[in-house]
Amino acid sequence: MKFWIELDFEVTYQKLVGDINKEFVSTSSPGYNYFANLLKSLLRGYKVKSFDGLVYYLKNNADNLNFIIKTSGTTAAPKSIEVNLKNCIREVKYTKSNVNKVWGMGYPFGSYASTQVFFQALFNHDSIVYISGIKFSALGGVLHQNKITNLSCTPTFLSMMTIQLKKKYPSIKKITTGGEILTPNLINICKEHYPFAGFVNIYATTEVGSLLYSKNEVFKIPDKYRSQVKIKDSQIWVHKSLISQNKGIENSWFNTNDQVQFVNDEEFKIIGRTKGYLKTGGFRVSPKEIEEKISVIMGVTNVHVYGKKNSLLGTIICADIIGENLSKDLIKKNLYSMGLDKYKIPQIIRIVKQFEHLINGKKQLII
Amino acid sequence: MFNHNKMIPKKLEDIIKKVHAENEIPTCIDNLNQTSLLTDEIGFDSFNLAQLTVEVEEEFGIDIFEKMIPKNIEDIVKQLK
Repeated sequence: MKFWIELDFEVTYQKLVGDINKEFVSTSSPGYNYFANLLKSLLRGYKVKSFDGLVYYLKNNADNLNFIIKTSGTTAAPKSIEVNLKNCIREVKYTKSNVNKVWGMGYPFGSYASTQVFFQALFNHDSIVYISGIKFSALGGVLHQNKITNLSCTPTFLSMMTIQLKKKYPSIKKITTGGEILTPNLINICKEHYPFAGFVNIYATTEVGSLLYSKNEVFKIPDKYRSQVKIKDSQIWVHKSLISQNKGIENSWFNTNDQVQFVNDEEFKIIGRTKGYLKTGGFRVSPKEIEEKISVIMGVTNVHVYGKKNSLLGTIICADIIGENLSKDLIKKNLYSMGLDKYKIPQIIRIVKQFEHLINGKKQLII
Repeated sequence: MFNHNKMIPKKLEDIIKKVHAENEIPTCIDNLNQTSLLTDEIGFDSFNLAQLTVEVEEEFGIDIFEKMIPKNIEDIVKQLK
């Protein structure tokens, strides 16, 4: 049986900082400490009175404590996902340092990644500065003014931010990335601007939480997960004991659909997703969903959406389209008018005469 | 092939203007020069820059983000030489 916290993070933050538009979450806020202590109590299984704005259904078994967050998901509408609190904070690290950290949060507000950073900061009484909505050109000033010590964002965000920087930022001691491939090139470029920063690259999924850690793009399964994480058919599988839901479990194992490529006997790179998903700029995109949207545009007779490797976004979304009286502008305008998120709009659109179907089922372009 | 002063190679300029126009970026780029900043002045976001990378690679065979993070047009031109 599962028990639920109905946790609306926007409401929670408003309660904690008083103003959602205020960037700085202060550790001196009474609500902040209350919330931290409340969560610790919940995990110990104590019954705690409800906090204003939050509804708790408590039982003594904290293992089954879940909450719901909304993510962009694979459709245009935000998707509610079920997260097990214990899984979400399983990899929270407690530091003994008396110096509180200041997190620069580059993940979108309320995303799963930002939720994990929130707990990491909360349990260590660190501060958070939300930088995901700030113009890249203004970020240098924000880093400096707030003396940010830890950056947490996707590699794309890191690239875009670093483009704008003209100075060095010695206050940054750690950069935590995830959601995309972190290339050695980006690490080298970042060393120029953040000379004292170490890198932590995290592999996490919504279903499992944070799982693998690395200083670069190469991961290995840590000893503590040897019996719970495995590579099968070049994909990462996770044992159900680490999952908060039963959906998608096959013979006690969950297939993340994340594909790996071994660099030696133990270490591997995560090279993308199987089962029809693409990762672009940290967002998960379903080519099928985009194909369905394009196919209803007047004049379109056939469409093929696919990914092409890109050094900035990881993968760039491309669309080859067959039809009459079509133009790239027309396609883009139609997709925007359908409310498709910007990251789902193909950056490369080609109007072609036909596809050639190969034996392996892949389509080849003939312009 | 290129004019090695501060002029922008014509093909590169055409690509930048094409990406700018296709994405309806509301900045004026009539006076592009090599010091023009890709994000601040031209107004490219990460998706626009990714498109620019692909278009430049198809024309010149060079991945402009492979070895550096170009901040302005000059950073791209240097890689084309």
